[in-house]
Parts: sequence; C-alpha cells; structure tokens
Amino acid sequence: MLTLNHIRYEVEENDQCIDIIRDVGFTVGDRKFVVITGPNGGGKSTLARLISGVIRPTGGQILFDGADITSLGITERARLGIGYGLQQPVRFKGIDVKDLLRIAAGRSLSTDEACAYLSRVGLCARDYVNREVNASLSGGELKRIEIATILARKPKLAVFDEPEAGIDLWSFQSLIRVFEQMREEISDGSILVISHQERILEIADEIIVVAGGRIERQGPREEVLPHLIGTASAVNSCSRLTERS
Amino acid sequence: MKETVYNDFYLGAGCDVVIVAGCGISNCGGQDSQHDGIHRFFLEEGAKMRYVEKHYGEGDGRGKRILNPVTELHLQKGSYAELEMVQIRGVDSTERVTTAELAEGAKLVVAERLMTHGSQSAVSVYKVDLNGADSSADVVSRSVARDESYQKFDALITGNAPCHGHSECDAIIMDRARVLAVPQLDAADVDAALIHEAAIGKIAGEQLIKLMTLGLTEAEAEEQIINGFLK
Repeated sequence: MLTLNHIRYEVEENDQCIDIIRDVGFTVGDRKFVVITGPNGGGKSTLARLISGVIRPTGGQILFDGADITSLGITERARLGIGYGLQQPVRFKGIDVKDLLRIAAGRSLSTDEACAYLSRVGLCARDYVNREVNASLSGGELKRIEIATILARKPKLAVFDEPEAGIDLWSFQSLIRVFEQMREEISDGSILVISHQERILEIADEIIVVAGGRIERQGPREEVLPHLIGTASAVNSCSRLTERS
Repeated sequence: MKETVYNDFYLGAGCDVVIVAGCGISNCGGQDSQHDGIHRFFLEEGAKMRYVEKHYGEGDGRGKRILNPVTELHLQKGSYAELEMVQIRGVDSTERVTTAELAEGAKLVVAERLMTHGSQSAVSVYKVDLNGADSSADVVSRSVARDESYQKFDALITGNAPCHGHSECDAIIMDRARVLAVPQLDAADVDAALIHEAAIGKIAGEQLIKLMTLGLTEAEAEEQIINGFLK
C-alpha cells in the first residue's frame, strides 16, 4: 500500500540545517492498522504531512500502490486515495457540515447519507448536518466531523494525526469504538494513526516508534507494545475509565 | 449617463412586508454609467420589513459602472427591519450610505455581502442611531477583495439609550487588494452595550490544505471557501 524509503526532511533555520526526519523507512501493508507513536517533537506529525503531500521530503522516495508519488501534490495524492485527518481541524465560515461531507464524498449526498456518517462518529445528525463548521463548534465536535469527512471520503489509506487530541474523556471512549469499528471493517484499505494512546495502540496490527526523527522500533503489536507500557509512548487516558471498561 | 432614482416606502403599523430591489447596470459603450438610488423607509409602530437589494453590473465596454445607493431608515417603536445587501463583482465604483434611527424596542439587522475585483472600489458607510430604550442593531459585513480592488467599511453605531449594538466586518483579502475597516462606537448612555468586531485576513493555508486533502485543486478549494463565506 504505502512505502517510505530513506525519507529525510530538513529545514533551514538561521542558516542552520535542522534534521526533522532522518532516514525513515517503513511499509504499511494492505488491510493493516498501523500506529506511529513516540515522544512529542519526534517527527510523527511531520511524517503525516509528508505522506499527505503537505510538505515534500528533502530526500528519499514515497511509493503508493507501487507508484512513486514523491513529487505529487496534496490534490493528486488525495485523488489516488490518501486521506488525511488533521490534528487541528480547520474551521470554515459559511461552509456547513453537509457541504464538507459532500466535498469529501466527491458527489452530492442525501441528508440520510450525510447523517449516517455523522452517526458513526456519535453526533446526532439532525443537530449537526446544517451547522456551519465555524467557531460555534467545540474542539471535540470538530474532531468528530473531521473523522466523518474521512469516512465519507473512503480513502484507500486513511492517515489520522492524533485523532484523540482535544477530545474530552467521554468522547474519547466513543472515539476508540469508532476506530475499533474501522479496524474490523478494513476490507481493501489501510489505516495509519499517529497516537500515543494505549487504547489505540492495543488495536494496532503494527506499531512504529519514532523519536528524534528516526525509527526507534517497529514491528507487530505483540512485540513492540510491551516495551512501551509505562512510557510516554503509550499513555493511558485515565486509569479509572480503563478499569471500568 | 447619470441618473438618480428616488423611492420612498411608508410601512403602516403592524404590517409585514418583503421588498426586493434589483439593479442591473448594462453598459456596453465607452462612457460612464452612473446610477444613484435614494431609498427611504418609514416604519410605523410594530411594522416588520425585509429588504433585499442585489446589485450586479455588466458590460464589456470601457465605460465605468458607478453605483451610489443611499438607504435611509426610520424605525418607530417596536418595528423591525432586516436588510440584505448583496453586491458581487461587476460594479466599478460604489459608495453605499445607510443611515438608521431607531425608537424604543426597534430592531435593525443588516447582512452585507460584497465581492470586488479588478480595480473596483466599494465604500460602505453605516450610521445607526439607537435612540430608544431596548433598541438594537446588528450590522454584519462579509466581503472578499480580489485583484487591485479597494474596500472601505465604515460603521458608526451611536447608543443614546439603554440599547444593544453590534457591528462586524469580516473580510478576505487576496492578491493586491486593500481593505480598510473603520468600526466606530459612540456610547452616550451608561446602559448602551456596544460591540464591534473587525477581521481582515487572507484565506488560511490550513483551509486550502484541508479541502485539497479532500481532492479539490487549490483553485477549487479557494472558490469553495469564498462561496461559503459569501453565502
């Protein structure tokens, strides 16, 4: 599905070259649920931006379904089937939730169809379908709508950058269920999630640990997760909630 | 060609009406075409009015299309006026002046949508006097300025009684355009609650990125954002 070969990303700041990503390589196989974790500032979000085409690597190659997409822009990659859920969802004055879902689906949607996507992320559709995606929505609501746009887009590869960021604990529980459901329903696509939430790591097929712009460890969940428990790479949202569920 | 149109509207007590004013200037020649309208509205007690004004200019001649509408509103006790002013492209030069005086419990709502391009110039002046207790005004302008166009939003709300006034200017600036926002509040009563908001900025890069990740080109994303903003 997706392969990164010797990816490097460096930026120049005050005449100094700073390496953000130093020689990263991994593959997300077909029908896999892969989670990238690691400490903050380690380069995880940069990887998501490199994969979706928001930024271009300064070295290396990105392959998608065998084709070299390194030089392609955001739109072209989106049209090939890469979906990208932003860590900080964007607000739009005047664009309502249904507009956004329609753009994501690439066709006109009936209210019922739009509602179906919203219901999957736990939003009561009737209350939201005609709401503007503006400052009147909370961070958690925006995040769920962001995820609904990816569901409507039906990409081959869905990349989510910290889907749990900015979400309250109550919503977090339902978010996990959304991802569990996605995990079960993967038929011909793959999911790549950036997260250090233990609950998300627990449903991964494979885990990649990124720190200091390098891959520190990667492999099947059973191998990698035991090394992460108790570190910042596998955070427990709230022990009380976890115990109860 | 230059013409001035006068229209006076008298709305009796308790009536509820919708008034639509359309104005299209077609100018194919090389001379300027100027169209000035003076609209006056007198709303009696409890009258309710929705006023929709759409301006559109066309023509490929070199002649300029000039439009200077003046709107004057007199709102008596408990009356309500809602104004929808839309001007999208096509008009070279406008200076729109809207004045309103509101008595006790009267309410004014203005929604302005404006897009300028080329070397157009659009000036919007609002002067609202909240004279009666519990009167209120909400003046909201959303605009997009493209190319080398110029826009000025000049809104003065005066509170002479316990009242609520709010003005908002929200502009997207593109290319080499220029936008000047001059929101003014004048409180002459200790219980006058007046607020203004003004924001001018380009389309956020994150907005373009989000829509591009949904498969739109940059130009398509820009159109979606502008169309939504001016909706």
